[in-house]
Amino acid sequence: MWKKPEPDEPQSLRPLSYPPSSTVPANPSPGPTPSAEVRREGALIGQSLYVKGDLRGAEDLRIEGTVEGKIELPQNNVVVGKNGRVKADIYGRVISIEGEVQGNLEAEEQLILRQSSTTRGNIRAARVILEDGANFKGSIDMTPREEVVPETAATVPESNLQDSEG
Amino acid sequence: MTRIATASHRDGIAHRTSGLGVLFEQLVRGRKYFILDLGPALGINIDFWSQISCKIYIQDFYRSLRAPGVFPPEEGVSCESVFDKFLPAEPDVYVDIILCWDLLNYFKPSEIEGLARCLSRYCQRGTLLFALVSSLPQIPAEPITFRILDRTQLIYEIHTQAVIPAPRYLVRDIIRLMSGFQVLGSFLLRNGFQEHLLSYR
Repeated sequence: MWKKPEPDEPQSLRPLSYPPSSTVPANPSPGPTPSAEVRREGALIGQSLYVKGDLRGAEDLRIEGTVEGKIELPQNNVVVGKNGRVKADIYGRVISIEGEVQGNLEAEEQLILRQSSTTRGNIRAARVILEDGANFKGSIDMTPREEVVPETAATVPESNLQDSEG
Repeated sequence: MTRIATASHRDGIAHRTSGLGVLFEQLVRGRKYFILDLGPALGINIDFWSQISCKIYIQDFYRSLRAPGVFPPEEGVSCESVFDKFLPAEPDVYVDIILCWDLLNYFKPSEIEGLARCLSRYCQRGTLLFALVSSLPQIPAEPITFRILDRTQLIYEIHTQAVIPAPRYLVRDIIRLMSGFQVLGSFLLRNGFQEHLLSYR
């Protein structure tokens, strides 16, 4: 599964693996399942690492350590692993959360909150998948970016509805 | 608190909803809705609402209140001040739909009045509120989890075998306690739930 490091290869560089597609939400949920596992080269913030500041770049990122600040990888995938503790806003293409996040999340394509995740913040994504058991509090905005719709609350007509006393 | 074994414990139970169906009939295609869900975050419910353009505020209200030392508040502290901590903190948030589920069963009349005052801050004329009130003598000791299957069906899950006496609020109680709201429809169902669809005046 893991690429064996070459003798000269720094130990901190490890290939990424994405959340397996066999992880199926416990509840029946219509719609496509998460994308298949893809191995790509990318960056890893290991469990012992603490990073504070803004992270920008053009590669995928897996976080198993602690990050505070801001993460901007709009063209890439971001995974907060089970050991990851993030206090930051995250902007990515596909974002998957397995650990703890406190911050706003914005995904260009898809955002996945795994069963083991704890998330506090506001989410914006075209598609959000929330597995049973995921601990989430905040808002989820599922308006497609290109969609322009009026946002004023509608006035509900007082139609002749069924009315029964209990 | 009496413990009674329930055959449905931990099994999902189908619930054909009338009130939620009426709520959906009010939705206008092509506009964005703002929804305040006082229940827990559930993937199936988010998946359901993803069919429309919307922003959902998920508060997991009851579980938040049941954290140690949170509720009921100390003497001299209003329940509203506690409720406010677990409602959206963003300024100028107005919602179109409030999903109260069965939470009203777990509050005293004065607490429902306080909750109504808190919720009214997020309401505009026409904001809809959906609630289920039990007409049975006993209810589970904790709120039920409701999953939306489609516009006419819910699946509900009872998480505890323990039961408590139900307040059995009548429609006139709801009207009196939920100040600012009027009842658009009430539906008494065979399973003992009475669904209320309220509209903010």
